[in-house]
Amino acid sequence: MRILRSYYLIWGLLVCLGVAAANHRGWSLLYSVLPRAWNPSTPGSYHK
Amino acid sequence: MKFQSSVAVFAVCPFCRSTVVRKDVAIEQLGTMAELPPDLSPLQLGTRGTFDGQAFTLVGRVRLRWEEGSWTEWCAWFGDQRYGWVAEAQGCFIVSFEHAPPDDLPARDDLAPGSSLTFADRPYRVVDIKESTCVGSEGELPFVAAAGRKGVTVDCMGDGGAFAGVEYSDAGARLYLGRYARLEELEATDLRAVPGWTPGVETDARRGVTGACSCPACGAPMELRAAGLTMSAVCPSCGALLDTSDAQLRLIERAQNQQRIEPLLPLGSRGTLFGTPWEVIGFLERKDAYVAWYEYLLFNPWRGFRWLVNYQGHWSFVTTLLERPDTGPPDKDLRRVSFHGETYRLFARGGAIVTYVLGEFYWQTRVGETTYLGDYICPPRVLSSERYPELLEETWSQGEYLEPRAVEGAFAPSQPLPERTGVYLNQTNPFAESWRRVRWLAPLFTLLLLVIELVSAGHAARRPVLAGEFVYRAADTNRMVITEPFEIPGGRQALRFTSHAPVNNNWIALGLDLVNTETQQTRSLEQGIELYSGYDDGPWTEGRSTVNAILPAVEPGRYVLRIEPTADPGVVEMPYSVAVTRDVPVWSNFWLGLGALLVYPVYAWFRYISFESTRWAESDYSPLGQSKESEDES
Repeated sequence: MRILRSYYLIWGLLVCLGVAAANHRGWSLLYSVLPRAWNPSTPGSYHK
Repeated sequence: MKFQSSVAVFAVCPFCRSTVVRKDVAIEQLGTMAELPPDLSPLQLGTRGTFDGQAFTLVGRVRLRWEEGSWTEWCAWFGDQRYGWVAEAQGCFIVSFEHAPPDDLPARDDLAPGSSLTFADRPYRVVDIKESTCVGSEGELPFVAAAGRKGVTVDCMGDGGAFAGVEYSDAGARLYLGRYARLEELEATDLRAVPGWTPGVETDARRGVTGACSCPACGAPMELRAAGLTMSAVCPSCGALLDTSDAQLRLIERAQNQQRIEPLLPLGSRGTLFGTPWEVIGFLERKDAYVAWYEYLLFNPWRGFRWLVNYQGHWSFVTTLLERPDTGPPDKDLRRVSFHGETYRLFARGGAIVTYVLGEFYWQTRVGETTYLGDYICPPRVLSSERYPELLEETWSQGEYLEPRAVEGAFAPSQPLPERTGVYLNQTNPFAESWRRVRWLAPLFTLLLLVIELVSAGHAARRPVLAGEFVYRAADTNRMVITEPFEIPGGRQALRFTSHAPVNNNWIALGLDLVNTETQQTRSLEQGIELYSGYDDGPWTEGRSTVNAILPAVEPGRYVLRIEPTADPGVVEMPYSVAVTRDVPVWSNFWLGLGALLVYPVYAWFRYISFESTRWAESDYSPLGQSKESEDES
């Protein structure tokens, strides 16, 4: 259980850091995880 | 004869069993004392120990009997004109000293279980009242303890294991104050070698110690496993109930017709639990209004008695408490009990009846015996109160859940123990630990995430870089619009596109291409604007006339926006506007992060609460809003 707490601690810190970095760079984590068909505005739609 | 203690006035000769009374320097012989029944007590005359830092030696003992059992009082000589008593009953010890009774001591008939008393500024509660008779004594004693001496004993418990005993006899009332103690706490030495337990003293010797060991009802040979410390035994051959406090195994009642139940742990089997070897000496089945369960009485001569309770493959290791839990004010509907800093919640209470008995017990249990039970849980522990209305007695015990494999590993039964089914009242919730940990971390991370998002949003510039108004005309052959160039300074950032059109039961869609004028890189998105309304059993609307979209991670540079509108075929002409704002906060990051943070806590909570729901479904006092009672009603 101590391991679980460590894993969750690491996971929580990663999530917070990820959101902070994404906000700083103007990224959308949501768009990056959505399938391209649902999200025509992802960077992958360059060079239309 | 030589008296060891100066306060002793009565003694039994260890050689001829003559009883003598000391009067000044003279000694007067009273008669002879019968041999005390053999027992498996680890104490003996000459045993030394310490209590609260003071050394003592056991110099005498009195065996007392009451309606349903017997116990031993050892006279402990502390030196310097001071003696105390070590009472030995049900495998535990009470060390007490005589005090002058208060002037306002209630008469015996004014006391009942539950009565409150105060001795030496300390509150006590009467737990047990019984008539006692001296059945024998040995060694030196500070009073004449002739066989047949009668009295009424009132046992009281105070906080923290405090004990008070009042003995009413023809000679008046005697008050004893002390507390409960375990043998290991007394640091006893010069203990007796216990046959079958002490290395080198073989089990076979136990037969000699316990004397006659054949059933008076059927003649079958019997082995008493805790002789002198138990009050009854059930013959394994004929099922007759025997009085083991009587050296001749007096027959209490013959067997009633009952179906034989084979215990999962046979009588006589030994196993080590919590570092102590235990022997199974008794087995009984109990039933309440709903279910039946099994209780195994365990014995160790130095640790006393414990119980193993078995219900549908679940096991609990139960110890009788030496101190009463904090139950709050008396006469209150008891729903919570505090003990050693933990709060126990009422799970079940009601009557239970003994339906099958086998082996030895420290009271005269028999089929049909009823008790009133209360179970209070704080998994993996359970506190149980047990009240015997006819015996004016209430006892508390604490159980600890045992994994079935721990029982199997300890006792190595010939047949594998049955798999457990369902959730037991004090079974450890396997998800409690993970839920307990993440339920504190998850809010902390949520707060941290919110702070991060608010700081990011606070630093976002939210600068408009384009705002244009255009008109869609169906008749136009080329409806594409290319805006004036605009600049996106700084680093990568998110853009928000806000489009508006006065749609009314129609739609317009804008294909937006953000074109970097230097690199010709294009990023596209489409915004559909639609608004419908009507009346079906009331007014309704659907859609919006203004829509927003975020384009993330746009590189800095010079851009134009290429707009290609399409619209409902019924639209001939419609104005629309497009605005672009740079460096806007991306709240979807927060919501996605929140979901990532909460997915495991939600899972852990769901598993935890599912387990608890199953547990409390068996209770009439569920804190979760569901109960056996409500199910039964439905």
